[in-house]
Amino acid sequence: MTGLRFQLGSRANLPVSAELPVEIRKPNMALVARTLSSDSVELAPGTYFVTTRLPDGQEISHRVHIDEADETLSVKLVAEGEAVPESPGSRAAFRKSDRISTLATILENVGLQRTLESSYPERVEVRLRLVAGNVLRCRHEVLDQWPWSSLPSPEGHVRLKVRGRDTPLLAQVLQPDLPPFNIALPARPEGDCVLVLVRLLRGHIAADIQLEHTQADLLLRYREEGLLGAAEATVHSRSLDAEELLHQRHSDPVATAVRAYSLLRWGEHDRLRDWTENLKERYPWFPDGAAIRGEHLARLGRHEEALAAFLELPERGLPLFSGGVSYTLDRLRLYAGQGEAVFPQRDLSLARDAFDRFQQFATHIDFGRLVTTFTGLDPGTPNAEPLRSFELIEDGTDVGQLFVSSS
Amino acid sequence: MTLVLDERSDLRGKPGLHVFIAGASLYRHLPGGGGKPTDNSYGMQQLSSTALTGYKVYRWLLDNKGQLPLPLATVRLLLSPSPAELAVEPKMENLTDACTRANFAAEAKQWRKDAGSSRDEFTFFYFAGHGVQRKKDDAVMLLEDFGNPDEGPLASAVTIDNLFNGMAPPASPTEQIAQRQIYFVDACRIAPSEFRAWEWLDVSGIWGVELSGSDDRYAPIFFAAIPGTKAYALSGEQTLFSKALLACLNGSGAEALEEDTDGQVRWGVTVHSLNEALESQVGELNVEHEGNQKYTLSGLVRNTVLHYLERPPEVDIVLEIDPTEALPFVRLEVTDPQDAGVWNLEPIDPHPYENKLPAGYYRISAKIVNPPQPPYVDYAKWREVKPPRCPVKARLSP
Repeated sequence: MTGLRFQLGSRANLPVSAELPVEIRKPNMALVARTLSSDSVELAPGTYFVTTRLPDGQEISHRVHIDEADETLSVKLVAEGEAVPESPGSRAAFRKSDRISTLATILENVGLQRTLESSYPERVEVRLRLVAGNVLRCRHEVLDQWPWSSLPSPEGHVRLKVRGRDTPLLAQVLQPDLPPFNIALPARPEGDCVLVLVRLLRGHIAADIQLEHTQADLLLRYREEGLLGAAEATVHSRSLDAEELLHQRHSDPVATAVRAYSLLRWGEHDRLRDWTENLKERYPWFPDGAAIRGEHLARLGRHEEALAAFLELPERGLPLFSGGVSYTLDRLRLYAGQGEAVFPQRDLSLARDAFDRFQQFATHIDFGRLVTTFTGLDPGTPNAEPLRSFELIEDGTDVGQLFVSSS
Repeated sequence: MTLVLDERSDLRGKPGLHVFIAGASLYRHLPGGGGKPTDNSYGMQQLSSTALTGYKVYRWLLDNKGQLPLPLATVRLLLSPSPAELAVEPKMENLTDACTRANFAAEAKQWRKDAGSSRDEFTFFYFAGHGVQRKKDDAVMLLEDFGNPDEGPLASAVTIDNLFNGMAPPASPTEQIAQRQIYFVDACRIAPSEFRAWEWLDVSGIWGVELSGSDDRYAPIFFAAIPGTKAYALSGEQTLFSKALLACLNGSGAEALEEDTDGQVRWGVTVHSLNEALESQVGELNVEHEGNQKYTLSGLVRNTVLHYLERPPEVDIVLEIDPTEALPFVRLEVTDPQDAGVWNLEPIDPHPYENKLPAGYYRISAKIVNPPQPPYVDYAKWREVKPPRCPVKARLSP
C-alpha cells in the first residue's frame, strides 16, 4: 500500500492551513475515498483520480499512478493560477453571481429594484455603524469607537477586520434611500472576523463575513454555495474538533457553533455529544450557544430542557447565525402551540413572548444567508423602511471614502 | 380513490416507499373556480399545470419503480386538475380524489400510518399548487377549497411545519416511523400584503403534533422557492421546479457511487447531488424561460440515495478556446483514462464545440500546432465530466 498525501498549491488563494475536501476515484469513477487534504490515504497500486473542490465550486482533478515501489506519493492539488473559474457559464460562476445578488435580493424584497445598471459610480455613499448588545431586549448601543482595521482589498471591495467583544456585535450599513441592513459579526472576544463590503452596480453595497477560523470559514462557504458533499467532508476536519476548540487556550465558540449548526443540519446530532452544553455554559454572551443546545436537546426528545435553553435567548440576544434564529422560531412555535401538556404555564407564557419577539425579526431576516442579516435602522425594531435622512446621520464611519482609496 | 397503488401485500412486510402526492390547479373559490367566490383572492388565479405536475411525478415514480432505493409500497394521489389539464392528460379524469383539505388530512394520516410500519420505510411527499407564507421562513400549502368565504383566510391550508413535525419519530419506544423521508414543496412563498397587517394567521393542523422522541431522520425538504419569492410553471405543461427535478432524477443530478463486488459502478441521485444539480438546472430553466425562480433546501439534509440509474449519464460538454484569436493554431484532443482518443478536432468548428460524453474522466488538450506561436501556450487538464453539464474554457494565454 502507498500513502498518498496532498499539498495545496502556492497560488490557491487559500490560507495554508485550509483543509480542502478531496475525493479519490478509480478511472471508472468508482468512489474509493473521501478525505481532507490534511490527511493521507493508503492506496493499492493502480491509477486513481484525485479531485478537490474549491469554495467557489470549481473542481480540479489529477490522475495519479501508484506503483508497487512507491511508499508515499504527494499530489499538488491546486496548481499555479488554478483558482479562477474556467468559464463564466460554469456552475461556480453561476453560484458566485447568485451569491453576490443574495443581499440585493433581501433589498429587492423590501422595495429596491435597481441593482442592474451597467456602470459603477465613482463615489459610494455608505456609512457603517458598529452596534453592540442585545437587540432582542433593546439593550444595544452604537459604539463611538469603531475597533476595525482596514485590510488590503481588491477593487470594489473593502475589508475591515473587527475585534470581537463579550457581547453580540452587528455592523449596520447605511445608504441613502435604501433600508439600512444589519449583519452579525461572529467574532470571539479575543479574536476577530473580517467584514467584506462589496460595491455592486449603481453603488449599492453587499456585505459578507470571513470568520477568523480558516476551516470554519471554509465550511460556511461550502454551505452557502450549496456544496453539501464538500461541506460534509469539511465538518469532520480535525481543526474543527469541538472538544479541542473549546478547551484550547484560545477557545473558539464561533467555529464550534459553525460545526454544530452543520451537524444539526445534517441530522447528525449523535456527534454533538455534551459539548453543546459546554458551548452554552462557558459563553453566556454568545446567543448561539443557547440556540444550538436547545435544538440539540429537542432532537434528543428532551423538550423541557430544550425549552429552558431557548428561553435563555431573550437575555442573550439574537443568534449570530440565521440557523439559530430558524431553530428557535420553529421550536418556540411548536412548544407554544403543542406544549400545554408538557410545560408549566409560566414557561409556555415565556415561550409565547419569546416567539412573538423573534417573529418581529423573522420578517426582516434573510434566511438565505448563514450569518444573521436583517433590515432596520434601529436594530431593535427591524423593518423595511428606506433611509430618507442619510445626510442627517453624523455618527458611524464614512466607508465610501475607503472604496475610493481601495480602487 | 386516492390509494392509486398498493403493493404492500406483495412486499410481505418488507419495507417500501410510501408516496403522497398532492397537486391542485383548480381552486374552487378563486375567480373562475365555479364555487362560491372568495372575499379575498390575494391576487391568486386558477393554475394551469400543478395538478399535471403531480400526475407527472406519479408517472415518473411508476416508470422508474425498479430504480428506487426501496420498492414502491403505496402511492396516495390527490389531484384537482383544471379542465385544460384534463384535456392534456385525460387519464387524470376519475383517477383519484380532489386535493381538498379534508382529503389531504385523511390521506396524510393513512400515509403516516404506513410510514409507521418500521424505521426502514421510506416516504416521499410532493405538493404542487398555490402557496403563501405568513412570515419569513414559513410555508403554507393551499388546497382546492382554499378561500371559502364562509371560513377563515387559511382554513383550507396545511403548513409544511405541521406535516414535517407530525412525521417526527414518536416519543414512545414502542412506536416507530420511517427514518428516511423526502419532501418537495413546489409552490410560491409570497406573503400577501394583507398578512402583514393582520395578527398571526393560525392554520389548524392536520394532526396534533406530539413532541418527538430522538429525531434522527434523513428528511430534506426541497422548496421550489426561497422565502418571499414565487415559483413558476410552464402553462399547461408542468412547473419549472418539477421539470428541473425530473431531469435531475433522470440523470442530470447523478453521481458515481461505490463499486459493487463485480467491479461495476452504480450511478445514483443522492440528496447532495440532487441539491447541487437542482441549483444549476433551475438556473438554466430560468434563462430559457426568463424565470426568476430560486430553489432552496431545508430540513435534515443527511445524504441518502433517491434513485439509481441503469447506466452512466450522458453529459453535455462545451469546449471553448480562450482567446478565440488562437483558434487557427489549435488542435483539440480529448482522451479517456486509458489514453484512447475520444475526439480530435482540427479545426474546432463550430466554436464553442458542443457535444455529449458519457460521464467519466477525460484529458482535454488544446495544442498550438500551426505553427507554434507566442504568446499562446498549450493547455492540458484532466476533467471530471459529470452531470449536469461540463463547460471547459481552455486558456491559451500564458
